[in-house]
Amino acid sequence: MRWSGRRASLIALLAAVVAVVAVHVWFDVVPTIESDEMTVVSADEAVDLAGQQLTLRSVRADEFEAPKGSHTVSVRLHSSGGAEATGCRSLLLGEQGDGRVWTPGTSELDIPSDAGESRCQAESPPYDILAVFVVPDDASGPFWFDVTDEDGRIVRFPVEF
Amino acid sequence: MRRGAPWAIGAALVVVAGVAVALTPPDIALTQAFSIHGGEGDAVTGRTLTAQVRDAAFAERVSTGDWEADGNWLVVSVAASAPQTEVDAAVILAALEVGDRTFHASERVRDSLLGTALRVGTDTVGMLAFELPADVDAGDADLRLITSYSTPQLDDVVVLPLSLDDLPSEAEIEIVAPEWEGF
Amino acid sequence: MRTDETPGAVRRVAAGSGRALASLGAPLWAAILFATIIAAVFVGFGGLRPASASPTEIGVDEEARTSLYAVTVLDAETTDAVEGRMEADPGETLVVATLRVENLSDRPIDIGGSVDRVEARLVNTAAPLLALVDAEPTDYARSWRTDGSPGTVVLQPDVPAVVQIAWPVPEGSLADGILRLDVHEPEITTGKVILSSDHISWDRGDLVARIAVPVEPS
Repeated sequence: MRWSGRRASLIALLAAVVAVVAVHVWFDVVPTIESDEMTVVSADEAVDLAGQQLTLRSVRADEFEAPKGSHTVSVRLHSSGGAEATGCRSLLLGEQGDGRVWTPGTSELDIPSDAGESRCQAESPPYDILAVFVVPDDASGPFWFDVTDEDGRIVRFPVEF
Repeated sequence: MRRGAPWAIGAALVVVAGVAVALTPPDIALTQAFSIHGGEGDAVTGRTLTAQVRDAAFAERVSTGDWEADGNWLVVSVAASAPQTEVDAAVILAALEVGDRTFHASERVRDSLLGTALRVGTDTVGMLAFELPADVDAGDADLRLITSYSTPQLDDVVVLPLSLDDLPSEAEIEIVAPEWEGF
Repeated sequence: MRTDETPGAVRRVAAGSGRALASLGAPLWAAILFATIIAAVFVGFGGLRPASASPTEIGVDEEARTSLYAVTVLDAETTDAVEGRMEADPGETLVVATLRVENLSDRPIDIGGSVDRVEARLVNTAAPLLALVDAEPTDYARSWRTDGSPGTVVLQPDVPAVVQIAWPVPEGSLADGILRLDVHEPEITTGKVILSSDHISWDRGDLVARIAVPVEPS
């Protein structure tokens, strides 16, 4: 009699512990796990993002003048534009492997203004995006080029030379 | 036990308790920033920032564009870059600790290094101007560079030592906007 | 009892009470000594000082000094707008004081906001250290340096600055044409529980001075 009473309370206690932990994890831990919705695109494939269709047109190195010890990587995208097009949160270049990340240096470089837009445009006719990154010479790639829309969805274009 | 033994033991315990209280770090140490130190003139690298002091001088007046101000100014030229990512990479707060006082790089100077976007792999060289009281003209100082609006918790802070002794003193220094090195 | 036995009797009583005290033993003496030391330390550190001093009344160009900051009112005016800085809503006017402020603490402070987790609360809180008397601000006060420097005013330790602070108040607030500003002593509190423990704020302490300055209407 005494033995089974003790065992029953022990089992009840264990069940309560499991339940409390499970509730905490479900309500407090799981929602904070960031899930990046990312689509990886293969070359020449058109992808939908921010209400427009984006296609990687070209990637060129050394197209513009850069500080000593680095070179430029220029990424050109074509966008279909359209009435539903919205802006993008960011355009980033990253190195596969060690993970260094660059933001466009377009504003500090000598780039003709008709070479392309530096950001996604909202509600516009078809246009080209030109993002120029200043990358040190010891970064040889391969890279990836990420476009993030305003909701946090990411489209990743692999970039190699 | 001998007659004096309880007293001796009690006194010893009080002393040990006093030492334990004195040695316990304050609550603030739980979430303090990690200071990354280096030698004078060295480049120091933290998680979000690599920085190096290039030059320093006192000035009686600083000017930028059409603004100028008199005072006991200390102008420090710093080369900074981001070690890992350019996203949100900028020196937002620069604190100079001299003695037991802390001074912040002046927000009055428009073209200072504060807020300038930093690059991975390329140094940006800019100036920081500190408005100091007239009695600060010598001594050893620490320059703390922070990439957020306030001292972070549990993150790196780059600390560059700077000796204020024997620094040149100019009548006026014009603050030059930050620029990429090697351009 | 014979008289020549009295000294002996006294001695026996004295010895008896001495033994009674001694029988209480060393712990009592240790406690008395300890209490005396505590009391001496308390008095020595000023525990018997009167609780608050009376505030001083001062006027224009006179400095009000607290332990962490000093303020001198140089000028005061009421106006409807300060060009490029602030405009009063209809039914309101701006009380603009020109002051020399000096930060006497060991870290930089902002007049209205916070700098690196130090919140000096000179203006723009429910209980600011610089409080307008006879006038209730209707919105946030703004401050700027008089030399045209951009941005918010950050006061470096021991570096005085000339600034202007403008409070929006209902029209007709300063009926007798005198601006009265209460200057309070700051009491430092560090954050606990909700704010991190290194968040420092200057809470309103005792009234140190009341500045009364005639206001020029503009």
